[in-house]
Amino acid sequence: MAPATKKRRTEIEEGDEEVRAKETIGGLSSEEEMEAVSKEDDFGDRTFEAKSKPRKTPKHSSSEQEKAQAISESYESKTNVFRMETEELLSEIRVDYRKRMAPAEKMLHKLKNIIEKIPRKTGATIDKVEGEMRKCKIHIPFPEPRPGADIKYKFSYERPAYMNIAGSYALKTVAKQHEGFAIDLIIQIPSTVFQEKDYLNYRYFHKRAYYLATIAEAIQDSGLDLQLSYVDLHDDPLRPIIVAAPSGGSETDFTTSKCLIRIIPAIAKNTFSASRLRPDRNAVRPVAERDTAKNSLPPTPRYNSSILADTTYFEHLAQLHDISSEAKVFKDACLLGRTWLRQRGFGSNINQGGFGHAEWSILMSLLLKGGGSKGNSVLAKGYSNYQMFKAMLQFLATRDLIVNPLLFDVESECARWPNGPNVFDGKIGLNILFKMTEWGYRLLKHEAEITLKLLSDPVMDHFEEVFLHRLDDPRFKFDALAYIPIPECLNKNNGLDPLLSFSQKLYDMLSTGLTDRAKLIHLTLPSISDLPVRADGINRSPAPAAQIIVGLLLNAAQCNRAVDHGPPAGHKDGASYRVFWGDKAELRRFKDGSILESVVWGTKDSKQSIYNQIIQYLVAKNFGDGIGNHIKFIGDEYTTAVGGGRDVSLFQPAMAAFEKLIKELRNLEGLPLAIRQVSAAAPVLRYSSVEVPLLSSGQLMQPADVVVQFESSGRWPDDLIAIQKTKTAFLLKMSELLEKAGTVTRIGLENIDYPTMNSAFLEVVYYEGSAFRIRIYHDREQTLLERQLLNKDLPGKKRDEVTAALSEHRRRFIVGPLHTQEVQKLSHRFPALSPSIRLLKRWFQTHLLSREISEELAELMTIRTFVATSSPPNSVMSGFLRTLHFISLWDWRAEPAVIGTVAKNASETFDAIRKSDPAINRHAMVIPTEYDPTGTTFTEFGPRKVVAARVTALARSAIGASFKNMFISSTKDYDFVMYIEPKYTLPGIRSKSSKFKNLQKTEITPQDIAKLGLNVPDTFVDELNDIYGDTVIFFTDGNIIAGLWNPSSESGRRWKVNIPYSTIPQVRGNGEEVLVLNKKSILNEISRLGGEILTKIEIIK
Amino acid sequence: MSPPAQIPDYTILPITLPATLLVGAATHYLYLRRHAPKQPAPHDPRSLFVVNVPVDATTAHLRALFTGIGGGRVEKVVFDGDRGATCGIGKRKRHLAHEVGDGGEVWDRQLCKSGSTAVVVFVDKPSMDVSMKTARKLSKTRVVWGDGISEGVNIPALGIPRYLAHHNLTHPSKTHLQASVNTFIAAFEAEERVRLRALAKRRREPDDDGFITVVRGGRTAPARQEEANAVLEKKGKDKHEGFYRFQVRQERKNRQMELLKKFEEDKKRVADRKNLRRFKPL
Repeated sequence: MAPATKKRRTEIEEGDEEVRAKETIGGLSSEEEMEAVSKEDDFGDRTFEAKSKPRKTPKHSSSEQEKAQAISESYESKTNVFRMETEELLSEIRVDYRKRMAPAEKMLHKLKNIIEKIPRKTGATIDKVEGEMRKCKIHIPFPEPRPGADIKYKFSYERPAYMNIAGSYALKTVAKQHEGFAIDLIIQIPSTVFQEKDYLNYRYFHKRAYYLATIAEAIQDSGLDLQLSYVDLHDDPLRPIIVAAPSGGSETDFTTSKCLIRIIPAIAKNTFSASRLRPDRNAVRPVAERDTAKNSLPPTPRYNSSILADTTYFEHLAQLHDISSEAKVFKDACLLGRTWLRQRGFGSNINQGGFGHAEWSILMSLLLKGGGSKGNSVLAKGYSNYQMFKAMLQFLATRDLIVNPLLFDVESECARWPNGPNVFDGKIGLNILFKMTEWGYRLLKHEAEITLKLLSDPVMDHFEEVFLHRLDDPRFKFDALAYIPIPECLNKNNGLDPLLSFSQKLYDMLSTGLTDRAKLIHLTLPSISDLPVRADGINRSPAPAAQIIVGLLLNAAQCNRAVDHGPPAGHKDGASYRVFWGDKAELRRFKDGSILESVVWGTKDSKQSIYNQIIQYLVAKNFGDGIGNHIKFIGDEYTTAVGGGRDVSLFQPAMAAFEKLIKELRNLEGLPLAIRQVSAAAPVLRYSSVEVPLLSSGQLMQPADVVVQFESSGRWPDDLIAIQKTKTAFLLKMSELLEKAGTVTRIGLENIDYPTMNSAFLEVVYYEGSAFRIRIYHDREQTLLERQLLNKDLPGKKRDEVTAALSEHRRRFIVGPLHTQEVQKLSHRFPALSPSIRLLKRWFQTHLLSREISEELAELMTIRTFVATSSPPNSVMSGFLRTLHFISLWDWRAEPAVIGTVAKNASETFDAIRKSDPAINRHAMVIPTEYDPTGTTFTEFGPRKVVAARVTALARSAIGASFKNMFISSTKDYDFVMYIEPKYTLPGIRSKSSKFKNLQKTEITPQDIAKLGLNVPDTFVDELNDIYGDTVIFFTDGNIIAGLWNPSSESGRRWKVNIPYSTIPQVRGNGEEVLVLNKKSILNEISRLGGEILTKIEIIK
Repeated sequence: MSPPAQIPDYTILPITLPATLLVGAATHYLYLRRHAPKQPAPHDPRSLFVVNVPVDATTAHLRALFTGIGGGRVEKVVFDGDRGATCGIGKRKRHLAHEVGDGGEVWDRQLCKSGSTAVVVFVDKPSMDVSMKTARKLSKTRVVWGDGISEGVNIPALGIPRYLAHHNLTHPSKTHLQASVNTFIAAFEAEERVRLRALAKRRREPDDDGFITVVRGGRTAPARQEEANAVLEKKGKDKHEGFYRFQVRQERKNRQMELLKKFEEDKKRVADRKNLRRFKPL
């Protein structure tokens, strides 16, 4: 760009900056936060300014300009990538109107002609109208309450005053999506059809219904190939519309346009007096007491809004057109908003929250004009599309529209809105968010907050989470779910919309009852089905399930509290507290001497979590047992599946034993060097082992790894092998000293074939059942190994060995203890973490993957779910399912799963790993963390690429499955399965061999200690892996071993000495001699090796 | 499809693996040839090279096999050591070498890798020739693997006893271990002393060319590589950077190039992901 322009722009911006920084939305809760964002936006603004230009002239003449941008000082990789990604997204979802929409346009013209030709009808009575329609078998979509037979008013039809396309299609902001989109054909009913008072008592809606039925009849008669049905516009039962879908075949077919046509009746703005339809006015008079004073009647805000909403189509269209010509990025921002809302399941329909892209764009247009505290605008027209989107989220996240409504052109109090957010457009007299419920709004606000935090992440851009991932499954979104049946006979007298008032009551009751246990309560109402246009037509959509889904976002710290405190005895609120809780409320005296009304929930006997007990109790109390007993809770089964519930206190005995060990080690006298540090490095000591240790007496736990480091000394030898021997000598000394103190110890050997690796460990056993495996960490080893690697002349085999030794050393002595520390810390921060990890490990075990997926990898996957979001899961269900969801989406071939704030070069390190091994023979999954920046420490030995792909596939099918099916594994995918004799499985070996239950020994015997650490199936599979290498991939859960022939070994190959598997020589048809895999002989060998360990070998394929 | 009698240079010797409780008998194929390694050894003329040895092969097995087919007497069998096979993915790469490591054995019976090789050394050349000939002839009838092992030879059993033995062997007695550690450390220290003395000697006395070698351990020890690097790095920083205008310009240019490179990389990354159709929000 020219220097002069730039200078001027900078000046303008500097002036702007102050204004904009103050330009916070009125009554912001956190002014500082907003300021920070708007500043960042200003900064970004400068970066983006030039880029809005290239977009105007789309095809890449811009690259030079972009380059110039790139080398300017303010270039930042993250924002830039996000911008490019945004552009890609937009180009992907934009619709090519000319090409795709031609057939639909043709159909629209046809429809227009048909409608214009409908003859005028006037003064028909209800009888006549119904008779007429019955004759041509057309259904009149009268909303409830239907017009009685005795009504006086007449129905009529006149040619529409105006007819045109409106909505997002007219604005060209529709997006490609799976389910297609809709073109809104708005038909303005002339005001002569109505009388002045028709806004009262549903008369408007009844006449509108007749008008619609007449149009439906005309289209039906015209013989166009269309499937017509009545749909309640946005689930508003008062406003049915016609939806026309292509039925294929004829020349007017518009299937290729992938859209629906919605025919929506509307009225002109001045048809009814707007002041009578203000939210505080009543428009539905009670039938019985016609003469009640007007003031005492309850206001009917929703009814009024439904009428007013019919006046807004063209108004809004004009408004959006104007604004989109002023602000170039408006349409793009609408598309972004649309995508964001859709991925989260928000839509204009009431049961989808009542906030869809229509509301998004109207709100955005309003905010571009005003909305600030001093009448200034909240959004600036010069924003880039991304900034506009972000500022919208900022507004949604920070401004509480329920407490602090946003009013435009309103002078009086008349715009008050009950139980919901309010953005009141005074010109129309309508709260444009009138369809939103309180819970829907709270959820929207919550989602906006989450996304905003993701967008402000300084390290990663989270583009996929913001726009690309589908996040509308209630099981990931919420921590717990309850399906509450709707009572069959809702009280009809209870307001205009009985379902809504029922759910409002439910919502209020649950909010009061759950107090701070839940951060957010959301209700999903059943969707309303379509109605066929023809009276004898078949209803296509299934009957609505009569259930309300209650979704809870829990407060992990509070949700399992057993006692709720109420007001003190004798307080004036006491009575209402007692009424609310019924028999559950009781007076209690507490330790601090206070006497309070309180409610106590059972923790021990019940499998149900406390919040579910509360829901069940309250629903049963208020709506009867019939409903209370039929609530279906989802979430508790995940908690009970890991056994022992969700508390880290289960691991307390093991942790205490570890403390004891530390103390004993520190008190040892006579060691040549003082102990500097004793650190844990085992799942048991970080609350993440599947089995809870020390649960039953008389059972030794699997030895937990412990790392001991001594004070540094110059007397260590400077040779790797000698270091190992010295370490053994140290262990022997420690063992001698510990035995003197009465503890049982053993020394074990490992890595016999690798003299440079750690060669010995010390097992310490306590008679309570705890067992530890101590290894000594000497920091010089790493230096020595690294120095060997620097030697360029090292032969390849030796180099591999040294590399293996180095990574073993790092994993065992450096990263392992750090990881344990981190998981411990996080488990205390997130109560749901530990059980989620354990459930995930169980899932891997069920699918025979636990050998390939190391314990640490499973832990890291789960941790990522908790750390990488701004709204961590608070229950086992959401923790586990969101982790599965992440696994199913993770493209491990192309990207690392970064946890926390790792160094910025994480992606470069990853690229280097992939570049050096493009076939992904090692490190299929990479998870960098702060303490392991390369992210390969725990994926060294698996999963292999094949297995990683299987993990993804399993996760994909699991997230759609029910809880039960998730944990059913079938063996049909394997080539052969071997069953292990139960005596030799891990639990089999550890169990006491006593016939009689009452004679079972509960003490640790020397035999038990001799068997400590013996894991026959594991050793067996280890050996099989070594012998058969990549020829067979073995999967096991400790009870069965499944095998899969490697397809590349199966194919047969030419003669070569070093074929790493047993072969059969064969002559192919073409005379070629090949060696094929000798499966039978291999199975025979395996069977001989296993001997009595195996009970059955089943060949599946 | 009938198996060919011969693949280049090799004789095929089918043998029967006996049925186990779980699976039936299977045919296993050994490939034999005269041993002719690149680096000849004295017993080559009386050795056979065997490919695709069953995983549980022992010297006794092969001895019985050749006796079984009417071949000559086997003196010893040298099993293939670690062939550097690339099965690093299992839990731990373990060598299945038959040499005895210095840390003591932890298996009472070693196994071979699938498809591995062995060199069978016969007592003399005629024994080998006879074996080779009978192997060629006998390719129709089968010898059962493991049959005919003489009673006196005690081969440790496979299956559970082997794993229990392994477990016990990995937990040796402490006195035994202490003794072996002591021996090692004593030997190591002695060696170290010798080495140090040799170094000291080289430090004191000039070599043939009259130079004194600089070695570790002297009073003025040579600097370590890392230290030297650190010093060098420090020196580099002291240079007067940004003193001349051309330096400033150069630096700015470099920075711009770097940013440009990063920009291009980012662009490529986005394009890559576009190719994977990753921007469809469906």
